[in-house]
Amino acid sequence: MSSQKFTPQFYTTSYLPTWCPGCGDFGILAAIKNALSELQISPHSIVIVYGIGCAGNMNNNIKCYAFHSLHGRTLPVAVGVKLANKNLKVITVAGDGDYYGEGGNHFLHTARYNADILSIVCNNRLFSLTTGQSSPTSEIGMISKTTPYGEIKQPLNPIALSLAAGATFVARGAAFEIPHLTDLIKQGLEHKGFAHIDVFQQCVTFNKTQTVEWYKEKIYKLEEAGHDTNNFKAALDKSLETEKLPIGVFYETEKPSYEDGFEQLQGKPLVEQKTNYAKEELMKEFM
Amino acid sequence: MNNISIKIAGPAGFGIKVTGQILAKVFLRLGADVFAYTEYPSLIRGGHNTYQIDISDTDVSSPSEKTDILIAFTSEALSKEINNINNEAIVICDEKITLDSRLRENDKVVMAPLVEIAKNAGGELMKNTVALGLLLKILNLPLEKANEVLADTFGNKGEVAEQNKKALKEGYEWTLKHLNTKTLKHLNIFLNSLKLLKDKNNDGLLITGNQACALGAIAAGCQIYSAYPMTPATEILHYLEAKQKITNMIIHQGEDEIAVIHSALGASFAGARTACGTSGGGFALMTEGLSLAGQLELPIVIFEVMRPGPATGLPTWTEQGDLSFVLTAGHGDFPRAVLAPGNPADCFKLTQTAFNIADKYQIPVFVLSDKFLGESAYSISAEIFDKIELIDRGRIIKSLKQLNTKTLKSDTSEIFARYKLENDGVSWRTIPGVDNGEHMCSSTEHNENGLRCGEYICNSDEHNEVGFSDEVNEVRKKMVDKRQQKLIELQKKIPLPKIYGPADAEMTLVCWGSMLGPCLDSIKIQEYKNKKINVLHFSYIYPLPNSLDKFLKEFKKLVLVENNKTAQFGKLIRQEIGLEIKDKILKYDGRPIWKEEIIREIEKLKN
Repeated sequence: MSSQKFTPQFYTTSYLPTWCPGCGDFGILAAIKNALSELQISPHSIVIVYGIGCAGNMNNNIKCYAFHSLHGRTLPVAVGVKLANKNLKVITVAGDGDYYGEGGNHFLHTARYNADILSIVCNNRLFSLTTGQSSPTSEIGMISKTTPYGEIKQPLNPIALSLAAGATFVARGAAFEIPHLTDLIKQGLEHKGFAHIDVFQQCVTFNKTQTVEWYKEKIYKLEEAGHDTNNFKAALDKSLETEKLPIGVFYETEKPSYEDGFEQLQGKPLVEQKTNYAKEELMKEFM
Repeated sequence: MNNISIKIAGPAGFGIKVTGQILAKVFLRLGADVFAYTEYPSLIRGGHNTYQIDISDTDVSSPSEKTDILIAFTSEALSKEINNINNEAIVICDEKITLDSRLRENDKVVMAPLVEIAKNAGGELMKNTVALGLLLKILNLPLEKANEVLADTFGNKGEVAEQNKKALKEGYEWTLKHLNTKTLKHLNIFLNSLKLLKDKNNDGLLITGNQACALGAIAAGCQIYSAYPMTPATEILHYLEAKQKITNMIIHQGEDEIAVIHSALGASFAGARTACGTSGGGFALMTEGLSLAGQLELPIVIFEVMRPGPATGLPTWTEQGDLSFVLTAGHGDFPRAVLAPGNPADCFKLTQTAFNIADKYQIPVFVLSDKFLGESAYSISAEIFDKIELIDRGRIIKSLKQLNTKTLKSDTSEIFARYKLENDGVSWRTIPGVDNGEHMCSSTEHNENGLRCGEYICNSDEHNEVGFSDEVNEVRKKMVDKRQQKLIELQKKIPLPKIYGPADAEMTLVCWGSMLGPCLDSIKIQEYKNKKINVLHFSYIYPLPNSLDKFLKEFKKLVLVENNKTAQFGKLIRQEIGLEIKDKILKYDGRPIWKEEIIREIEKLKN
């Protein structure tokens, strides 16, 4: 076979996406398939763990091993998959409410473990599948069904949080910048350790503030601004910018991944090994 | 049944447990049957800790309500235990403590310079070992077994080992010099029986329910254990963590119990045998994951080691109070199985069975125990641990070749039809990645060679046979029926509860899980031996066996024995077969039911 064995189309199921026309999830879906295709990763060795929400509904659309989990729980599921079979490419896809809200604790800890997982967070700054409520990344003043007089809580900063928690690859993309996002996903897939990509995503139905046009006026690319991705403090500074919004890789570093810390996983993946019931040895302490 | 009960009491940090374990092992190695029960508050230093050892010439599986010998390290410990000692008890304490005015004339109080002897041997901390030596001589037992156990505990060489050996010897010699042991008449019967046992070829082990569950998981080939620390389930986590280099298991301590069960499910999906463990409060957090397992049809074993709730409740005490919760936890209708072992042998066996049921029916399975079973140590034969159940991974496809068999080839969907309808409700599942060095099915091969692909959607949405999200009414109904069919199939295989004691009993004690021990011991009490009482023990709790209705009608009088307030198992029986057991012995003060209490309650029921 040629290098075109796995075309983007190859990863496409017959199940049509259920998103609104113009939804940012179409761009993210395309970027994921492009990245998988460009890296020629066979569907049988990919596990994508999806959350619940508009983004999570991507579960029916990509041909690979899919695990449609619960709201907020993509990361612990992904950790389990990776521990059982370290050879799999494990990706999580979830929205901002799911990932930063319900799943906030898992986000902090999985970053800390440095489990070899790529997280793609479809951040439209709203709960949309539940018809538009304020989320952890909604700006102060955001009008939604649960904030009819404007959001009064501060939004959290996913990039700063990710850096502080110990993620070893931290990036931000945009759903409407597909080639750029494809490249970020490729880098994330090739990174060993916890890779976190927050993706600016328009919600054409419920978010009338942060539109594609709004984003396009504010974003700039880190790689074009001479940013040093190995400099943690510079990354942190960049993550705090609010007037202009940087996209690209903020930070990357090499650290041992969680599963690599286990002596038991130095050779074959766990699913191909056997548990050893060494009765004689185990009984000694009970005599 | 000759029985003797010894209790060691003092504040946390005094080495009560280690001393108790050493003494228990000395008796075990002398050929006696031993049961060790521990009580402790939820703190690290101070408080009141006890380690009670019941020693017998026949099977013993519960603690006595009152003890024959008390070693009390402080005045407070003595005061707290003074009402829990038998008439003519032996009380051993340091000469400097204040005696309690409630001690009776016929109690034999041994005031010894425990601290002083310990200091001479190398340090005050070893007053435990001094007391141990002192007691051994009182019981007329040889020193050599204790030296062996000490060596196994502290090593053969080094300062600590030498000092303990010295402390033991000096305690022993103190008794020799200062006590006339012949006056301790009531112990003679026991000592005689012990002599008979000395030559017995003894392969006994002293093991807790938690340890036996952990060993059961290892024997069952469990590959990942995922947990968050919570008393009284933590010992399973500790044990498996400590043994991972031997067993090759991965032990994952997650950030919370929600993460713990989801990681276990992720690993299960990826093809590993997995379990997670906790107590009631932690399980409360796991319930959404339980429901997810039901929908995804993923096998998982959950150890729930109960303690008294609600909320934080009594962290270090016991109760059978989570049964109703475990039976109904998780939103939606889906099948589950609940097994409740009665002793460590049962823990080892049923844990293996639990893994096989989980894989065979692709459902969550509980191993439900409690602090009493989980943390008490029972003496059992080492042969029990030779009984390995054949591992059955159920309908799991491990290779491309297997996938391409006739059965599965008929399926022509674009991805693997994970939830294909089968008569028994159990569908085939594939494993992501590779196996046996052979690529596990990717869609290219499907196109080129006519082979099937393995990729599928493990979907928490309601789904069709292929795994795609589907909200059509007929599909929904079929899928619910499919999942529930597995419970019907499983129920056919559930054995009837076990009867212990005389077949023609006038009265039957109905119990489940950990209450087996106290019930069995109660009908062994001398004056009750011929009273025609037997015990009916359930370890398969849910589903209950099909013919239970008919089976229970054969008994003359049923008395329910449960360690909870609301007779939760009684309610289950009533719900499932419409039978109400009116006579009940219920206890819910954080302690197990003592065999003596069961007898007293039986007397009341007779009147």
